[in-house]
Amino acid sequence: MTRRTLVGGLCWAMLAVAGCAPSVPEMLWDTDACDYCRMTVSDRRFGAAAITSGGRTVHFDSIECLAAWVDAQPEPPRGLWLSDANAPGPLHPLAELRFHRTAAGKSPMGKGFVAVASSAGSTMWDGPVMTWDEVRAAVATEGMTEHVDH
Amino acid sequence: MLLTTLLLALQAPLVVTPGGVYPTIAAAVAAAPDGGTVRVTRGVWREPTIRLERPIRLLGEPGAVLDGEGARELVVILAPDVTVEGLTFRNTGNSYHEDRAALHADEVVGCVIVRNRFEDTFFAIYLSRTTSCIVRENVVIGHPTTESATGNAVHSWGSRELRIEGNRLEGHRDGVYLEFTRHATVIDNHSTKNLRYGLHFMYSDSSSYTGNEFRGNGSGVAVMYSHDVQMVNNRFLDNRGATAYGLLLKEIADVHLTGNEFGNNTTGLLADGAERVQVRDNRFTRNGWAIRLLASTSDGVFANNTFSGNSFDVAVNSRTVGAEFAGNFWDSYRGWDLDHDGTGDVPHHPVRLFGTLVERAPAALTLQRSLFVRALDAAERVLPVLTPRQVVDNAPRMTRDAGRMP
Repeated sequence: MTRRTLVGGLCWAMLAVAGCAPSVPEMLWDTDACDYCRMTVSDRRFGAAAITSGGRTVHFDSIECLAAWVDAQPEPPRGLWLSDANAPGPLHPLAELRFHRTAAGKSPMGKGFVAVASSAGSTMWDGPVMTWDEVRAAVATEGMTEHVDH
Repeated sequence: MLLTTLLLALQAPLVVTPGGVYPTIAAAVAAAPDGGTVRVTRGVWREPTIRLERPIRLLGEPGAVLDGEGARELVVILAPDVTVEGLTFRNTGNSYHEDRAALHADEVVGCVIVRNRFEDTFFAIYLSRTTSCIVRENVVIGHPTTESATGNAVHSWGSRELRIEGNRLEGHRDGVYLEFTRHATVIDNHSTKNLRYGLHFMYSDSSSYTGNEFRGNGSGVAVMYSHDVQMVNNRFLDNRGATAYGLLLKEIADVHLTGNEFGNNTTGLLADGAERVQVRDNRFTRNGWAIRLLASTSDGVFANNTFSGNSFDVAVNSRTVGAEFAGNFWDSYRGWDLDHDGTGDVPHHPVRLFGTLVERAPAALTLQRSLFVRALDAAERVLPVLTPRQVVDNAPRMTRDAGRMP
């Protein structure tokens, strides 16, 4: 095996690995638009992203938009990532997060869902701990177009 | 006589000066009678958050600065009929846990916030469930970096009968954010260089904005999930970028757009899920796309508008779009007016074939100036196959100056 083939083979192997494992999607804050509601994604506490079953990256301004989008997908997405409201900015895989519904933090769509690291102790975000399925169920029940009077 | 003197004494402002009778703003506020005035003299005042729990007027002399030292809110209004005027608010610092604002009004009626200046505040003015408040002639300047978040310049949550007039709003997330707000009037503001929107409606009905300028924001204005909004004589300018637009209408109904100017935007007006939109007497000049209508739009009327210098006047993402066009001026119109009645004798189809292709494959945009694309557009005009036939102006106006429709 020549050196050239080896290098070529390694490159292909790296590409294959990079192509298979969904890496953390990139978010261009203040530029990317929410793929559910079209709002520009700006508030770093509530941002989220997903990789679709087809491999496309989509972005969300709020957890409620992510939940509504997931419910509308014919195929389950490859992965979901969300911002940790205690350390906003970087996106974390769904499995590392827990959810609260809070009155203090007003999320971009007004429903008040926040995600924080599962490992975090008690935080300033009030409200009982919710699972992702409970968040989805709440969003599905309430809908996104209704006016929620607070 | 004695009574008059007493009344005068009561009405005289309580003056806050270092070493004076009232050495702190809090001391003067505590001593002020209902309806009294507290006057803050020149200087930088660093005090715990000042709570206004009775109806008073808090007045700043020129050079009176409240400094939050990066750590706190500055003034909270908790009583009806409070006026805050002429102060400079500075340096609240950021908070991820609270909506920290330089000036916060909470469940009050009749507050007046006038001629103040806000520098480097997270939120500048935050109105929570207020009624009949006025925010007038304030200057709000932020210096956000792309890494650090910022709040909104003027934020209204659940308020009613709000008037926001003549303010200059710069460098925040949104210039004005109306959330769950009703009967808001937004007039003659300059909202520029905000990261997200110049003005943002979310679940806010029965409101209007008139005579404002939105320039160089992330995008100009977003009206989302709202009904019955009047948009009159505003200027949507210089919103450039792949996802930027002058105005977004998303999940809205019964709105009127009249006499506005859309200039130099990547997209002028983007409508998605817009029902019963009346777009009349507006000017769309030098935009990438003047108007993009997505399939979810229905019962729209576009009359007597002026389209000039746009790369695409109208783009749609479907052959079925619920919009009527009549009496608009199109600089791309290639027809004639033999009977000189001011109206073109043949219909105008504002959707270019190439525009339709770009909606499906944005990368095709690189071919825009090519001979091939011109040939495509010409062929499509003669023998339309792909462009929607119902997007047609049967009475295109021949002259640029927008007169009223007959």
